[in-house]
Amino acid sequence: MNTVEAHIDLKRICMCFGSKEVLRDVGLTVQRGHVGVVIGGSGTGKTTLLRIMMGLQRPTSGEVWIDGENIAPMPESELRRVRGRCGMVFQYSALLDSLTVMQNVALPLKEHEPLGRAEREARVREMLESLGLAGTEHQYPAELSGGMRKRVGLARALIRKPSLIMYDEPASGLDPLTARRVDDLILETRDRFGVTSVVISHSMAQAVRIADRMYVLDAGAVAAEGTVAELKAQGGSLVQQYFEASRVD
Amino acid sequence: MPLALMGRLGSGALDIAGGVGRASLFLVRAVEGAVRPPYRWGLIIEQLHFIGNRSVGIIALTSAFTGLVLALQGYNALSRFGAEQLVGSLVALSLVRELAPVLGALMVTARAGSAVAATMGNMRVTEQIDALKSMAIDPFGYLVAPRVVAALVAGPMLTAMFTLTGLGVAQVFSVHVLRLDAGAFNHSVSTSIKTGDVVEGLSKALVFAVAMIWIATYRGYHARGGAQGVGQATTRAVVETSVLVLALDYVLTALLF
Repeated sequence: MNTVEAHIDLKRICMCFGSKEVLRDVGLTVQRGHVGVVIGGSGTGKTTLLRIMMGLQRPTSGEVWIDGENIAPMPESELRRVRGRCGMVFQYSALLDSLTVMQNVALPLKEHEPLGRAEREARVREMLESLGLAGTEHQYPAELSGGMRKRVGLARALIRKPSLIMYDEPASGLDPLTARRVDDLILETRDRFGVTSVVISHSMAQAVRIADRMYVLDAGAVAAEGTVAELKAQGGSLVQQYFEASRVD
Repeated sequence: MPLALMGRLGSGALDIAGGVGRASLFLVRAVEGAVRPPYRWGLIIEQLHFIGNRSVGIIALTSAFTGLVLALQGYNALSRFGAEQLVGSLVALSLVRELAPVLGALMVTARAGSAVAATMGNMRVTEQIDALKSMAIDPFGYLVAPRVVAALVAGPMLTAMFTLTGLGVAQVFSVHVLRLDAGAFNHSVSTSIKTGDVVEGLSKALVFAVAMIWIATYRGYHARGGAQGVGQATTRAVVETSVLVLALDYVLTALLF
């Protein structure tokens, strides 16, 4: 079975909205403990692909294997069990705006782990500190900058130590230093905890920094895939255009 | 041409049937979320405060004016037949059986139903509902169920408050402005209201509360397309609830008559 080593294995994914075909026969495999980066321009179906991997959208056809289970036909209650092992960082953070930073990050713990309040808050404080967010515990999302909101979203995704994290444009809207810090964090979670990451990005520079394997999405299909070195060697006009436009050597 | 017309009619009918089916399924999932653990008491109390406590002011104001108008109109009509002493009965029966549940529901829809639809719509378009799902949290249990429970508790209580406030204001107005006898007013109220009237009023309040929170959460949950979508969802929630409350009022009145 080819899903033994694969943490995520997408097979022949098609997604249509009405008559519009957004994803076409997409197949990709991300190995356990690796960072897979899906790169592509706006409107190429990257975010839709990520939502399908998280079970937030059902593909029109195809299979989505996570940890050896095909989640595509699963009912919502089953999907919750699978999502319990995953984390997701949204492009615009998607923090609950009626909750403080502390409450937002603590929410997954409160809902799923039998911890006392003090222990829960200690874990949240530790996580916030590691992301440079100490002192923001009692602030609401509306009081934070975009970059801070993004990091709170990251803290919320990481707090239960998931084995798989999906990132939707994690560096967009961040200053270069914070973006680099997020990249380092993605690599650190891979190296220290063996976490698998799927990163949606339009930044070739970021992809080159963090990707174990890259997937170039164009017009709803995987146009090229491989390691950074393989893609550079492989060429192909679209891939070259990306490297050149991003001025990445 | 007739074929095209039939096609459009058929497609419209299918859309309506599909919409009703989806909304019914939504209600079933909301009820499931309410009865299945974990019970989120904190969220229920929070929603009870929002839908119930914070509606007290508007309910008090509308019930006071309703009581005043009823007393005045009742006095005007009944005095033509020399039956002013029945003003209390008229006010009490009108409020208990009809006006308190209907006007109360419409006011709560305008204040709380619209806010529920807008809040949930905003959560939908800013991916907060997807974020809950990504954290393996059932949005029905976390967002919808507490609001349903709170509305079911708050609806009848606000209706009772509407009735009592309206009656109290009507009594004070009738005695001090219309110069009716306080004893006669109180007597006509107490002799005209039967247990069945109270049950009818509170049953209506319960049904209207379900309708209000069902439509508000459903419209908000399915909002699409940014701020404009949220606005449309909110408007639809208020309009549809108002029409449904009036239609249900007729059905219930006919059934309980």
